[in-house]
Amino acid sequence: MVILSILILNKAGGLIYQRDFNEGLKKLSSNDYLVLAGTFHGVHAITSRISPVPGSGGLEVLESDQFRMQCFQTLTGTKFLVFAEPHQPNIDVVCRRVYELYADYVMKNPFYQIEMPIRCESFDRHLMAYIKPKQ
Amino acid sequence: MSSTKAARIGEEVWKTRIDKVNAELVTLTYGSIVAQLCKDYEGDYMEVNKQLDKMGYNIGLRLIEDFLAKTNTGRCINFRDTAETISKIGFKVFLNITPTVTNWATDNKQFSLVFEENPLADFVELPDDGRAQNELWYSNILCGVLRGALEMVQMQVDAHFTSDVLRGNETTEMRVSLIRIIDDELPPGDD
Amino acid sequence: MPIYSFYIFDRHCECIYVKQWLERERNSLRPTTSSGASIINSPLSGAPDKRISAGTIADQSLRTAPGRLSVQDDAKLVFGVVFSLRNMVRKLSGPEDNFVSYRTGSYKLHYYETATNLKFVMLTDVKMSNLRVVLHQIYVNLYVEYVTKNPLSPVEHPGGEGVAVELFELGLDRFVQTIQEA
Repeated sequence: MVILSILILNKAGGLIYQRDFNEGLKKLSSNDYLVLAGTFHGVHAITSRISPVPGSGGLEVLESDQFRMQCFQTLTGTKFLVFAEPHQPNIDVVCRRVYELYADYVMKNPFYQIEMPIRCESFDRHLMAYIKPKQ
Repeated sequence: MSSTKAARIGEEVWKTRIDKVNAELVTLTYGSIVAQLCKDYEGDYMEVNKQLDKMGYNIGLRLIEDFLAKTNTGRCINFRDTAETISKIGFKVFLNITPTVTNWATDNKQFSLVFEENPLADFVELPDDGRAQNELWYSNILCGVLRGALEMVQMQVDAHFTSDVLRGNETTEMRVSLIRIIDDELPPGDD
Repeated sequence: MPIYSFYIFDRHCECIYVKQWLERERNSLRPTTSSGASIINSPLSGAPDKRISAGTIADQSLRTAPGRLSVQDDAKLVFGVVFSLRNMVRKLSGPEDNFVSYRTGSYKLHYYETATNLKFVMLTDVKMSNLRVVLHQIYVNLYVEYVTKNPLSPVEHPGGEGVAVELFELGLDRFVQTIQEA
């Protein structure tokens, strides 16, 4: 399983977590990622608006020549963006697992301020262990 | 794209995907356009050059789409790549000639195309009124075509002839310079 | 498998062609056949035209679907989305990468951009496979042949004049039908 990187956005579209796991995407500055996150949040909202079929959710999968991004939006409005290689199967499973880890090591941490950037070392550790088990 | 690869693509597209037309028809049609322009502008050859360039520009705007559609080439990486594509594929596909790319400037933003043959100018002799030899660029439409086509792929260039066998020079040479790369347009209201 | 709509945007960020094959949900787009093309093909020339001509039919259905967007607004939003996503993709993985498509729970959007910055966008059913090749075909066999090579059809579209070439529209309809049946 080759995951390139993961981003987490809060309800308002602010970036609260960004981590690269494998080579594939360019290295951008943290400001760039913030802007990207904000743009994506807006685009996500519009994608449900322009739907030809009424009652559509927002964007779920984004494909390009070199990567594939899956956006998992929770009922609470948090978005998990998982970037992987184009033909990587089972990204849904990865999204679910990351959500579980988030629910455990971030939300259950009483000192984590909701909607703020995630600085939980245990979340990082467990996530890394899950995504890149050999390292 | 390497030179040989470009040559191969040009040859292949020319052979298989292009409808051919009688060369005489092209030469005569172009010739009559130039002659009529000279008559209409009463010998103001600078104006004729300008009109030919304008006509070429309008052709270039459309020709680029046909070129991209038929040859399926992607974006060129740099200006040198562009030069190879123009000479080995572009001219090959539309005129079945392959001008040579030479005289690169040190900053890689200017080059010359030297035409060994020019089907537009077959059997042509410039009028003997003393001015045509010094002022008229007979094949100026080609400059406009390059300008229009490259503008559509976001390169602003200047193309002009520097010598022409019809004028008595040794070679027919066109100088192409990249002025700037045109940026993507943003939708109105975006800063 | 339904194909919902098709858009072409030029390099000046204008929508130069819209075609929608939606069912009755879409109120003011009842005239989606080529006879109504004149309405659809001037997407940015202001709402009043459209509403006057679709007045009587639209009134009733306008009440049943209050939140529906006009064609112009729709096109602008679609453009905004594809433009942002395409820039995002380029930012993330380099200028050589291309945005190809995205999928939501109810539709899929396919994107193809030529070297001349002409953008082709198609919205289809979720299960449709990648239509990049199809959009390329539309460009090569229909757009270049019937529009670019037509000397009376403009290259630039100031004020959103749009593409209005009948052969192109007929060819497009026929082509889309063959895809839908496949």
